[in-house]
Amino acid sequence: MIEVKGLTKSYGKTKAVDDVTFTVQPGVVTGFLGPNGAGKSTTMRVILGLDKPTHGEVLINNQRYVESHTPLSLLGSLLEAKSVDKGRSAYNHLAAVGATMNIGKSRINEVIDLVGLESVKNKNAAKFSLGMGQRLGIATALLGDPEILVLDEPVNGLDPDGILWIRNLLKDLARQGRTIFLSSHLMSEMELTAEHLLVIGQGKILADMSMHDFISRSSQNFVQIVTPQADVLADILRKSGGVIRSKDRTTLEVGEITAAQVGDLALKNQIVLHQLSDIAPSLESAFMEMTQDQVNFHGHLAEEK
Amino acid sequence: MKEITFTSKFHDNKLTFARVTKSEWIKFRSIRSNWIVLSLTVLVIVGFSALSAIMSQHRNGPSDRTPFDRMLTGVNLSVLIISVFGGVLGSREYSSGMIKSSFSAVPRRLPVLFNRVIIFVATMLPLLLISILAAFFIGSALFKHDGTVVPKFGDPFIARALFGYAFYVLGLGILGLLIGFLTRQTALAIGITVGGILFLPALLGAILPSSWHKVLEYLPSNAGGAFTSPTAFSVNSLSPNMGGGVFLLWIIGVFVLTSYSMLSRDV
Repeated sequence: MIEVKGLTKSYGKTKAVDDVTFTVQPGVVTGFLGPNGAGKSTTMRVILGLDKPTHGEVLINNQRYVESHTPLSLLGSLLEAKSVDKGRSAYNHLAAVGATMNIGKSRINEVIDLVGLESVKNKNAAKFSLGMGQRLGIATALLGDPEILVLDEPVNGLDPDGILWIRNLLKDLARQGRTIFLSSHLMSEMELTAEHLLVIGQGKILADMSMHDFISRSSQNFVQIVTPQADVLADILRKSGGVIRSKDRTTLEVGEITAAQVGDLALKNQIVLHQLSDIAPSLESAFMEMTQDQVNFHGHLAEEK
Repeated sequence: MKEITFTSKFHDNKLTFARVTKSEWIKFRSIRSNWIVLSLTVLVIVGFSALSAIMSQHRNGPSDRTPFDRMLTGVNLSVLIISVFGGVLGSREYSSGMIKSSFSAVPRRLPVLFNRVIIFVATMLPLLLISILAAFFIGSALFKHDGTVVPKFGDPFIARALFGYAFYVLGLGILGLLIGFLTRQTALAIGITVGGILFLPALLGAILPSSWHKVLEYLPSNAGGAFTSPTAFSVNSLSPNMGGGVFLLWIIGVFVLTSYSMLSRDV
């Protein structure tokens, strides 16, 4: 469990993170979303003890990370693939990191196999592609069999195969009772991986809720209708409170109305429907909607909490 | 809150100082260029000593340099190599990003600094002592062949001077390493160590009035240099032992400053 309490981090006069409080629970994958410069990486760096908070504190399983006697098995992390000395082989990199807690050969080979680097483990990291570097970073994070994982953009540079692999891996690790906290720019990927969401914008937490709640509270869902009488139906729906988002000769997209209402109205007015479906919003559209108007949403969500 | 607990299989493996020492040793030995630098150091110290002794047999007239100085010509070149090497060892993890892995594994940070210095001393000190002794004995043999009178190892102050050379070179390497950690940039670390510590005092000596010279003798390279004197006196007014002491204080001072900086700054 990661507990962030009243965290503020300033660089000079700029507040990168402004009085943020949240808890990342074990057992689920928690996604961390926010536009560029919102404070994601800063928050992660403070969690890892690399940056010191200006105010507030972070507790990792009820202790400060810097005081841990078993750092590698408490928390594994991946900040950027660029946390490796390129003059060293993958094996020696893991050996150097693992030695601090007497984690030896068998575990090193285990994580190398797990991330699929066995054929290049004795090659210098300088010869690694972006994806291989990313896999080495993930191997480093997993080395201590950690109770908590903090991963910044773990799918960066991975091929589709690798993305699927890490998605399933993270879900498995969460199911074992570990705390998994990850950021990603890839909304569709996040939607498939994370069960819980934290959204940060301009240094403040905008939302802290389950993925399902976050998406369904969005106003972006709409009804898609295919009908030969699109013009007629559009007028009827508009009169009943629907908002026409788009319209052509046969297809309508209407918001603020449910598919059931559309079906009833069509029947009542004897309009033929060829297709009628509820289109659920994606995480991406829900996220865009929130971050476009951060201040508004912040007030709204804060009330509910 | 969910009642799920997971315990790592390495939950009982504790982080200890000795394990960080091992980690730093793996880091040191797994970079191939480190071994090239070590070989180069031996080659320069022993090779130049032999070369200098051989060359002096072919020159006419007296030299202003004693046979002892000439036998240790290579050491003066090794000072450059070792200070640059130290600067690289201190700063390279900051340029590669490895420092984030290091400090995540050792979040208290200082054990990384202590053990980096320990590994540096443990590899460099024996290497420097052996190559300086080899330079001395090979040089002596070559000079003797020529009939030149050379100091013997048992002569007063000779053993101290030989150890002094090793300590001087090692000390500058440690200063380079610490400045590497402080500046986090290889180029800047090398600039400060080589330019500021090695060359600046000589330059200042040339331009400042002589009333300043006493002050300059307390600068690290001058104080450390005094400790390499093969006689009871040094070229400075600082005695060799005093010089060695002042040099050690510089190292300790920079070490304390580096530790403070490492603990207080963000990575």
